[in-house]
Amino acid sequence: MVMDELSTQLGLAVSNISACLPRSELWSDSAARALAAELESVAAEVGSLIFEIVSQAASSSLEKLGVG
Amino acid sequence: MASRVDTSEIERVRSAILLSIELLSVEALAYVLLSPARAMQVVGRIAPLLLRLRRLLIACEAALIGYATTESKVFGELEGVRLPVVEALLVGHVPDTAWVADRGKPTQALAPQTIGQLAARLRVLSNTGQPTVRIEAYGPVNNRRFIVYVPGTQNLSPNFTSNPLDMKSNAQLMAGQSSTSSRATVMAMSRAGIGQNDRVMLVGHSQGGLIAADIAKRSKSGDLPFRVEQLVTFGSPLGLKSAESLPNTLSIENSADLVPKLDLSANENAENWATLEGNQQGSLVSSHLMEAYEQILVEKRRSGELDGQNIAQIERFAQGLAEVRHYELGQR
Repeated sequence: MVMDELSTQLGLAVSNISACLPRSELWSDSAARALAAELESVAAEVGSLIFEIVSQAASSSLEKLGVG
Repeated sequence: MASRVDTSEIERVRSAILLSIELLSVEALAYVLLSPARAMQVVGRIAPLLLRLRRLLIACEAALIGYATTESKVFGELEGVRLPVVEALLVGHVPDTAWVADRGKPTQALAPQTIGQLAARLRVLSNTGQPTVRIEAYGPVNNRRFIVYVPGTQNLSPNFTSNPLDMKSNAQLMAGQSSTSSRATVMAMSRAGIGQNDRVMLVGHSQGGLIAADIAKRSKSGDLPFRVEQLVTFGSPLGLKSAESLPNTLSIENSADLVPKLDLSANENAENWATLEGNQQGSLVSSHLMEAYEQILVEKRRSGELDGQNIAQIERFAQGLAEVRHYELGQR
């Protein structure tokens, strides 16, 4: 359960990174596109880390219960 | 290629990236919640992502600089704005109704363990370029402590805007008056639920330090319902204040920075007021930034000048996990 706090914080980070994306009607040059691509890539990596943390917590709980 | 670029949009993106960096800075949390080995793995994964976000931040800043004036021009313009600002202050016709609004959802953070960490949080806040204060709440209801971070001037325009961290507030505070920015900060403190028995440490950069000193003084005289026990300022011109009006105060100044010298007076040397001076050479702008002040602290730490009781008092002010709230300051 202690992992929840960490994954929640990382989830907040992912959500906020999504809010960093430039609004195309206001900023749409090549720099904005490169920025958006990089932000999406960072967000995906944080998302993948959250998945790993949650999976590991689940598998550890199952081990403790003697399941699997 | 480029068609239409709105600089306020770049500024918004920059601020959002800064917040993302803060949210993603989970190193302390990872070490509290995970085994050391697992925490190292997580931190090792996050570190390069933080670096990538910091690069994007620099890219946004470079883009903004490209659209904005050079620093010499900014400072050249300052000469011109001084008169209208002081005039407006004297005539008193500029509207100055302060307001405050919640900014974002509450987050959590561990207490700063060093004065360097305190400075780093103020630097992150200052670099958002937004009129935002950060308030950290520690401890149970019957023994609460708050750390309030106040950034410096963010609006150099002589024209009225909704940002109260402006030149008019600067002029008012330098003249020993309360300012709209100070009143808005008081509103944020009330909104955060700070009561008269709660212990408060105020931390401010530049105008933020003047605001903090103003609030501390008015609290000490009983005009405000706060118990301000500690004040930490970076690059603030406080020389015209009396030690008697202040709580325990540490003023950090860069001898290469002109701003703390604007009062043309040295800080009083008193039992409750220490001034720590370092030297970080740079341009007019860079020598005033929190980055320069952080570097001064690194050097003072190395030379053992941060081992005194007054520093220990600051570094032990809060312990454990805080609820962190941000408030936007405004005027109309």
